[in-house]
Amino acid sequence: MNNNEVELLLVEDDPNDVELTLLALRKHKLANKIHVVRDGEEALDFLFARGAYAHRTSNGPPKVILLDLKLPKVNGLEVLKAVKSDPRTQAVPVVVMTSSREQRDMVEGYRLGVNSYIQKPIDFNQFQTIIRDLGYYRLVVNQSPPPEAFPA
Amino acid sequence: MVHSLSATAAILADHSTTALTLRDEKDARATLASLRADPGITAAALYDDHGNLFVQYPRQAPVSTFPSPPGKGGYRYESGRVILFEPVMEGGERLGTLYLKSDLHPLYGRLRFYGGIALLVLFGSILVALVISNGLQRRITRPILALAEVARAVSERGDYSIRARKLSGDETGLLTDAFNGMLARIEAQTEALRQNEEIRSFLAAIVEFSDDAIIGKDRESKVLCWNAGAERMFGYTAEEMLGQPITRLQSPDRPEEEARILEEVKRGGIRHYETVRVRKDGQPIEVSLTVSPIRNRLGDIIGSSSIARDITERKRAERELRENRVRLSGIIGSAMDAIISVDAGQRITIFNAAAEKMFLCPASEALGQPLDRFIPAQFREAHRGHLAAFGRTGATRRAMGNLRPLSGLRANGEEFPIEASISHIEIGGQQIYTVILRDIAERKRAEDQIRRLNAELEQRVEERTAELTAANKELESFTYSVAHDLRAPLRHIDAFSKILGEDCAASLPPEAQHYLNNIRHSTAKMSQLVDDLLNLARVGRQEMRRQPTPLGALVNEVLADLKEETAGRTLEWHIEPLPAIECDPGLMKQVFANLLSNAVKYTRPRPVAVIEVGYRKKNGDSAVFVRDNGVGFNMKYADKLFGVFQRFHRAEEFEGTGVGLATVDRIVRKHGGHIWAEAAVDQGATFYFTVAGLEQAPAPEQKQMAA
Repeated sequence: MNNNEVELLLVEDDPNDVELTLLALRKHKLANKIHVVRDGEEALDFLFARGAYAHRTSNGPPKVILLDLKLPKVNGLEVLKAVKSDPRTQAVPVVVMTSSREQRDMVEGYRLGVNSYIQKPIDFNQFQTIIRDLGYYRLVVNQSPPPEAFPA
Repeated sequence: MVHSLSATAAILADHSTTALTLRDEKDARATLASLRADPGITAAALYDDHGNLFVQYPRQAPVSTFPSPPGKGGYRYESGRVILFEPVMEGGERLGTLYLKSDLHPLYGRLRFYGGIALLVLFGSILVALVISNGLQRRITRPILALAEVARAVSERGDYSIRARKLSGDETGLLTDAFNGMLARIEAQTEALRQNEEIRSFLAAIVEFSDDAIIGKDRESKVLCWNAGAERMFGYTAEEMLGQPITRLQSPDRPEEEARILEEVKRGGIRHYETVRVRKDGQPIEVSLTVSPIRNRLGDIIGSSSIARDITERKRAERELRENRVRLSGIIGSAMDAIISVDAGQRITIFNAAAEKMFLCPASEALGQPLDRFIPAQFREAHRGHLAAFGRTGATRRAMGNLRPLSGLRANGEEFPIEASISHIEIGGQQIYTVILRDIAERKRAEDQIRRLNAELEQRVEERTAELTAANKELESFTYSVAHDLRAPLRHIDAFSKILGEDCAASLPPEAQHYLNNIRHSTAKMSQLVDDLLNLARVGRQEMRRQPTPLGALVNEVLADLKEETAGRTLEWHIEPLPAIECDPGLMKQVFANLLSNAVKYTRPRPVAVIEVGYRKKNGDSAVFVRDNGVGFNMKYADKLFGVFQRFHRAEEFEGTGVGLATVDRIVRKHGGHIWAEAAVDQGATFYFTVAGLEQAPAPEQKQMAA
């Protein structure tokens, strides 16, 4: 496994959420290789190695993307759409984590091919549990798509 | 015969006295010989007083042929002979006896002779009589028999047209003439009688079958004659009325009328009246009466006849006609449209008030004028064409406005647009056209204005719709933001409180843990509030997805969801069968979820909670109800029950946000129903709700459920 490989891409604009998510992941010793981007544009730049990430040598896509929906510049659903419609990232599991329980967003998310859709619970205990379970499942239990799933 | 023989005997006896006395035989013989003159006497003799034969006749006759002694006086018949003994007396002294024997045969011969003559005479007379009778028969009997035959035929056949044939010019001829004359008179009279009879039955039929009541009265106005028409008209039968005074029919408000009529009739002449009579059933009936006197042969008035005609209908029709005329002239006068009638010559005959106003011309000036006056010059020809065509086609109504735009001409010369309809009727051969005109100048203006206003309105609606859509969008993004942006800080507060409490536990004083817990409780409550408000907003704007839904199934789902919450409590559920209705199952489930969780919540102080769900008719509605035996509430707050954030209990007693029933109310109203509650403090509460279609819902299956 390449050490430079990013295991988890966290797309989150709220620094509190970033901190809490990282806290939860570290508490359970999951995903050392986490990259955080703070808006949709940055997320796409990172994924497709452009803009500020143009220099990034492609070590392949992350194992999983944790995606907030309400993002500056390019919102989460647009990011999702771009990810799922590009063959280079199509196979990457995307977990939407959002504050709201908007039916519309949920419908649109699944239509665009989201792999999981999670409403962030208010109760931090529950949040931690969810992050733990998610990390175990996506990063430990689940077999990630083989490199063949990602055409250059 | 015997007499002549006796006379002969007496004479001979007288002549014989001397001979006997003297006993002179010669003389005696001579006396007897005189009998020769009488050939009828065949034998004679004289006996002496002793009875001895003295002489005999004829002289040669044997003595033995004489009787001896002679018989006593008298005669007797003896086989066609008469024997006679005659005493010969002289001075009272019998001298002897004379015997005469007369043969009767010569007598019979003579008798036959006389008889023959008599028969001859008889036959002669019969012959004569026959001849005479024949003549008589020809001249008298035959004509009379013929008369008798004719009389018989006449009487048998009753045919007075038969005439006897005149056979002679004599008295029988006169008789025949007289007879025929008599027949002719009888025939004429019979014909006259027959005609009279015919006329009489004719008249009787007219009287009987007349629809008019025909009544005969005597001089005292007593009814003598009452026809079927009278029975029908007045309701009395002839039996009831005959002999009764006609005043029976008199109307109580005209008590003197019949007496007056009687007086007028007595003065003679025929009178007509229109009056009111009263039927047997008490109904007044309007009649026209024709009363005329009836006179006898001498010209004296002996009574009167009344012919009554029921004119109730006619009177009603007249009244109606009058009313109609008044109504019609009222309508015409008050009509908003101009109504103008013209005759065949285009002369105006009706010009109503609206027409005056429309054409600025008083009716007094318009009447009798040609209609052309009110038609702009360029339309006059066309208008005449219309009317002519209209008359020909015979249509009774056609809107001329359909043909082309019409214009009218006011007295001040102004032209204006009109709409016209025309009707054509023919009364008594007169063509009458009535035109109804409407000045549509105002309407045209109004229509233009309406069009303009409509356009403006549409514009405004579009603007408002856009505004509303924008507002809606705003609201949506607002709730979206609320969902995201309000929840995120709450999550952070909760998370950092937790981390603080756990990771920095060692450096915190003990009460800090308590405060941190309070922070987290408030956070939880705030998050619940946000969730509830978001839900309420979502219910408001969410599209209904109606589908047939068995309410019972929804209740069962809710009961399953409540399992956790009710763990450890004693609850009695009474769930009646509920119907299936058209509704949004997700929303309807929220209704039951809210009501049932409320029931569970507010029965918490009860050792045994009893919760019923059922379906009742209440206040004329079919309603579903949820009843509990919980703490209830005071009905004076009932109107606040379904308001947002309205709470009847302190938070320490019963948790809640005060949004649940507001949400239920909104869902029920979205389903075309309404919700209300009945409760009392500590007596439990019952929530009823209706939804559209519940009334028509098929009856629920009868099965009992308990959880």
